[in-house]
Amino acid sequence: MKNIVKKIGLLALLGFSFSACNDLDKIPYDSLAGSESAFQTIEDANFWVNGRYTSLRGRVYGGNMYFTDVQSDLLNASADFGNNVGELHRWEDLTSSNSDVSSVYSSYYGAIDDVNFALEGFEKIQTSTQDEKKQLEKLKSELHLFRAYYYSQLVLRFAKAYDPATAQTEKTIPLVLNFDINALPERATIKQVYDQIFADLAVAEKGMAGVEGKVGATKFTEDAVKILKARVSLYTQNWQQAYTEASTLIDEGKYPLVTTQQALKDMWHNDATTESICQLFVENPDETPNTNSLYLLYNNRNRKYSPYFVPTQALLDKYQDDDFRKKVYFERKRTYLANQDFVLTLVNKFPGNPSLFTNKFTNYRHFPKVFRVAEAYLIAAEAAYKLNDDANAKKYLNALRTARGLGEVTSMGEDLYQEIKDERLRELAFEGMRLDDLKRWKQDVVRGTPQNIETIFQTPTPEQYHQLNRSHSDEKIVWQLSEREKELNPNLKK
Amino acid sequence: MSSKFLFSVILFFFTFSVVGQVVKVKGSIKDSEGVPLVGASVLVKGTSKGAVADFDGKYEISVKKGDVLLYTFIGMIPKEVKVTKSASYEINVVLLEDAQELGEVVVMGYGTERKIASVVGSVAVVSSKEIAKRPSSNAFDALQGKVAGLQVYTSSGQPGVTSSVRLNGVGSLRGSTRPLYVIDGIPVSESIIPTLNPNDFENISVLKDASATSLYGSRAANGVIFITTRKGGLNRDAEISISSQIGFSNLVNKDFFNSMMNSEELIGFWKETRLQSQKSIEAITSKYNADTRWENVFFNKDALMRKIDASISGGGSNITYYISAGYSGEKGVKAFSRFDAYNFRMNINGKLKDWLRFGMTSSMGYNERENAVSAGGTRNNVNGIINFPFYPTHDENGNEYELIPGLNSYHPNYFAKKHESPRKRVDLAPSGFVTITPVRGLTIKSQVGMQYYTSQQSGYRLPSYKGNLSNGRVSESITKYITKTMTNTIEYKFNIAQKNHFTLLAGQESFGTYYEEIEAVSTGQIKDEMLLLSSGRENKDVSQEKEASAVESLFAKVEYDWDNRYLFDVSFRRDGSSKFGKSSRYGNFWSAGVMWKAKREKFLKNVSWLNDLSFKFSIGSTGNSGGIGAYQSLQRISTSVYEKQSGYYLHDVGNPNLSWEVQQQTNFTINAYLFDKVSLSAEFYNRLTKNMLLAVPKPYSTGIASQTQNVGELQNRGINVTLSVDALRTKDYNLSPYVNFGYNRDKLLEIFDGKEFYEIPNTGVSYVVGEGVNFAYPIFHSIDAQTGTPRWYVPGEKKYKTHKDENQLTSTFDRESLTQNTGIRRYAPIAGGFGLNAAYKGLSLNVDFSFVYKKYLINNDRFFTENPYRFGTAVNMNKNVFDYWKQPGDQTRFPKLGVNFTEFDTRLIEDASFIRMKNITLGYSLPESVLSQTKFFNQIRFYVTGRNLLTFTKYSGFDPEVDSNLSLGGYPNTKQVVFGVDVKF
Repeated sequence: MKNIVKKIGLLALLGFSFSACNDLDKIPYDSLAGSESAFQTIEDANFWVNGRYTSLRGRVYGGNMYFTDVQSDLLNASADFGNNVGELHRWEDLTSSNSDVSSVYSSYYGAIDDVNFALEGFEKIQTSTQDEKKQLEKLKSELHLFRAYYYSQLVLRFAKAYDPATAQTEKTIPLVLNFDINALPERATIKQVYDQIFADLAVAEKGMAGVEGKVGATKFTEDAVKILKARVSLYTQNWQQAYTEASTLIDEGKYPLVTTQQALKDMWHNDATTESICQLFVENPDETPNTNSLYLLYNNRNRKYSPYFVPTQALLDKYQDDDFRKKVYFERKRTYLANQDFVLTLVNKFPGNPSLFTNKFTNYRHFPKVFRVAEAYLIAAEAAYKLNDDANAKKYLNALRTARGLGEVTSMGEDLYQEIKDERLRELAFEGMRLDDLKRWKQDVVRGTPQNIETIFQTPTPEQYHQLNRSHSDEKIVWQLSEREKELNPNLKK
Repeated sequence: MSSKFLFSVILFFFTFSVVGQVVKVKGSIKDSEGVPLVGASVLVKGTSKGAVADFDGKYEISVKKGDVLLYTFIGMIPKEVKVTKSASYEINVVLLEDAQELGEVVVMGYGTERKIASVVGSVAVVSSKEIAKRPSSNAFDALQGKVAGLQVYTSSGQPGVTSSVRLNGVGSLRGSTRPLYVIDGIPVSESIIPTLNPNDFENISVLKDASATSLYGSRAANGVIFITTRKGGLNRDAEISISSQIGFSNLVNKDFFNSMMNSEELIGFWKETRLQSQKSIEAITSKYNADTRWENVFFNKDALMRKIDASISGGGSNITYYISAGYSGEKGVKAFSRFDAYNFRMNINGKLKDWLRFGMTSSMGYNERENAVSAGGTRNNVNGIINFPFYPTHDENGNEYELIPGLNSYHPNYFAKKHESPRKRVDLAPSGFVTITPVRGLTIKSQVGMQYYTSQQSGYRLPSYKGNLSNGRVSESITKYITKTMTNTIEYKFNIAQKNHFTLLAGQESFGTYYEEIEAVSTGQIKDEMLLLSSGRENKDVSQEKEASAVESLFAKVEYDWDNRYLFDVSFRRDGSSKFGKSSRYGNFWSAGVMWKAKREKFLKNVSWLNDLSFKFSIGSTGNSGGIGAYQSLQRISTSVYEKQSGYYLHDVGNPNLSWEVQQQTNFTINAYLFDKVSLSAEFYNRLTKNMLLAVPKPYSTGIASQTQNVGELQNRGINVTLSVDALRTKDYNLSPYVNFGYNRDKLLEIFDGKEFYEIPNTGVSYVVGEGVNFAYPIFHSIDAQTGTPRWYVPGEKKYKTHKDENQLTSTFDRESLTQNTGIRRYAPIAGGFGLNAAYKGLSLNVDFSFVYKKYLINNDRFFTENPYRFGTAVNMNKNVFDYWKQPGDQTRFPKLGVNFTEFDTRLIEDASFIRMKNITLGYSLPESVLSQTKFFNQIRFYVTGRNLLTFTKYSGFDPEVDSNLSLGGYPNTKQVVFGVDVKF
């Protein structure tokens, strides 16, 4: 018997020394488990707001910017475009399940919900001094500005152009203001969305007051509030407010327009901060931006360009020869398409900043410009025109034109309006605004003459490509909520 | 005290004894190894008088001279001893094991070996003969078609890949569907399989039902594949065995490539359809006039494979050993892809004392792998075969172009040469155990094992690469993976009143895994000779990942049988996993099984044609925690960076209630052996998966795409049948054909949020409640012979109901509105195999076919090669696009010009059922008479083996074996012919 006890004792020694029990409370290495420790101090609040800029950088430029331009009248699909953004470009087979549309929708809501999550968490942050309390208010209002920006983008894509007569009844996207993964919100009206945007802007205006704007600010300032407010006011036909905000911003003179072709080129090709109210920070390799590469696509093997999309001849014709932008936004390039060599004028607004190259060839990276003062000039001009103030309309329009190497316009009335619209097209081309402008101006989407028919894609029917002609009221000009979204949230079917 | 002395003392007492007196006999009852047989009985024959051996095996009994004592113990041959003395004396008895009770044994983890015939659970055993020496480093490839109910697919021809393996249907929609892999008692990850040498395997057991698997509880929901490696034998001379093989790989099928147009056809097609203008065509033909078959450029012929391994096994009086080493080198059919593996194994078992044993198995592997290079633009990967044929690959002097003119892509050989991506990996899988047998029947075992691998995936873009001259790029990714398993069990076997046999088992297990990856990159290397990370000047970046999880378990099992005729077992296991929520991490799993060995009944004993007949029934539950990340129960906040400062973001919302996916399984099995020839087994099962781990999609407006939850119910019902016949069995001949198949029907009983139907966006696959996992696509009707337009069925109101109404057709294609449940199943219901083993004297022939029926696969490649209006000016087309509609009355495959030829609809869902000759081996062993003359060799065998040499399928893509919803490009499957020789001495 003793023997057995010995034997078992030996085994117990062996066995149970191995079996140090595992702890089942494993916590991750790359993240905080639970949000408690992320909402404690003002430092935490700073981290939350800083994180919103990272996510903003992932939501400007790239598809979020160029999808609507590809859908609009500015571009022709090249022979080798390989069906990239094909459905949006063709319109014909564009359905609500389009993955490009869905990616924009989910990217903005993902960002909004982080804002909501942070706003709720901020309630838990303890401040010890008056200074900290003020700081927290500022950070909170900054979050509101982010939310206003994202909703302003969403409502442009997923709603008809704002019309005071129908805005109260026309339904669009759902408004999500609280973080709740089980929420099944209904669609809001267009008015409700804009009201929310203005409400968030009001909070931002108050909280961000004193965060002084400066050229090339890498974060939001009080001037970012102004330009966004001016933009949204223009879209909601609040001409007076649009004019006031835009003209104040211009008249303060913090963001002078550049006046030479070289300076303009520097601004776009080398990301000089001139004219930028907000231009995001970028650094290789950790802080990289989205890119708009599809206009060039340089092939270093044959040293030629094989872009997916080329500007239409009709668009190029809108630029006079002495327009600085003609040389900066476009360039004649040796192009290889449809197995042949051509020389074509390509979009060169985003050629890639050489300081961000990671090898000898471009990677198309830029410091994304979120708000530019030039837009303020165009808003002021258009709003003034709508207020029947042709003099001020011309003042701001001509200021921009002069800066771009063009002469002043003297026209009046409808002609002046057309000049303003054309200027907006020329200045803001490929910045993602064209389709929304056509929509609100009630102009049909008519793709103009291509540069060279041999270089563009046109099967099975040219009507889906260079001969596309779609009404401004075509239902496909408004992006639809996806089947997936409606399936998972039946309240959206209402 | 020597036995001689003892004997003389006994003799002395005997001499003075008085006849007829009561004699006191004491002594011990032990087995041949000196282990006391606790509970062994000693009985005075013909009376009910008896005694039982105590903890040290000692007994004491009063008898009369002339009585006969009967010593018995379960599993031992009874022994009778006549009492020959009239004085008290000692009788020490050694009982021997009942050799008849030995038979094919199986180890099912925990506990000691079991005779397979007396295992209540459902277990299929594949011997190593059937899997070793196949021309693939992936041992499981050879399991295809071998075990009824086990579906095995090898989706790629890349050397060193693993197979997808499923048992009795797909048990989970999102969680893991892979069986648990266990080697010598230690769970391992799938990736170790190609690094092992199948020649080291003794056998592979496939544990199928709840009774067999439930002791593995948490991880056995999809069955267990248990690999037992070879061991040496006690008191055996060393046997050395060497085997070597050499052979060649080729693409398994080139039909897809052969159906592509040549230059003349393509130009003709362009002209005929005006897809390209005359000007464009002239611009091309004036420059390029080759007729390249790209498959010959992208794929090599006769890729070499070699294998050599050697093993030594044997044993002394208390130590056995098995030592092996092997090398296997496989080149892929794609440029520069290869897999070179070295493996070593040492299995030592020993008996330190009568009651103390130990064992150690250790395997070590080193392998280098180079995957097919796919970087550098789509045209460098397999889609390259759809390049235009008129581009040349060689210049006028016959030199291979580096940069292919016109295509402006580098030649795949050049590209691969300048882009190396070796992965070097070291695998260690040691395990060891100690058992103590204090008394016969009681085994206490402590086992510890681990799997460790570290791999380094390098990526080199050489500075001499002309696409980026003097600007190299180097990336190094180092991965570490460790699992540790510690198991302590106590098992006690005993019997009561002879025929009641009990085995009790209880144990504890701790299992932990740890994973880590560090990746670093730099660019700007200037010379091919200097490829360190530190040789790069720019873009230096580093990233890291870590993950750990653990499972703690307790388990117990009771087995009982009466006379080896009625067998029962009951088991219980409790598991806690760190992956789940704090309050929901423990799961309880159980099983109960019963077996009736009918043949042992009196009424069947004399039925001569029935050699064996048994019935098994089992029911029980197992758990699944696979397929999800380690931290999905937690809300997680991570950091990003902006302007060099940290920023927070919500990484994952988590689900604090996350818990075990549970599977309830019921099995009924009949095994019979008839006419001394025919072995037949039929198994019926019903698997019900509940609380499925599923990424439940959320509206994007919530900010997240999905949340992992326990939802839904999935049922798999089926039958597995195995039949083998020893048709001929004589001294010189033998011929035994076999066939097996499994039929499975999956039925989704519930998904989430009360939904009846959910299409997984952009996959063509949907969950259909009441049916299963089905393809959801627009259903194509026909090309209208009068107008040449394509037509599709308009779905009904409910998309989950397949709606085919001849009167509701449309010619307007809108993928979204036309998508409906096609009724076509994603998972093949029927799979199996058949073949034969034949021998005539030294000659042997083995042929194994596998088959899968009603398997469907979206042939996504055809979307590109049969779509001239979308891609006809960018890539080559399939010849069959000539078959388009031209005039009323034409019955054609494609519509009229001006309409897209191919859409994502049911035309692309092809029947990928197949019958494949997985193996054919012809071997010849030198006869004994020749061998004995050498006085050295025990065996010399030559053989030739073919893998995948024949395939019958309707599928028109690369290969039907791809186990996915769709096939697009990829690395097509390969076939091999190898020659080998085995020598033993």
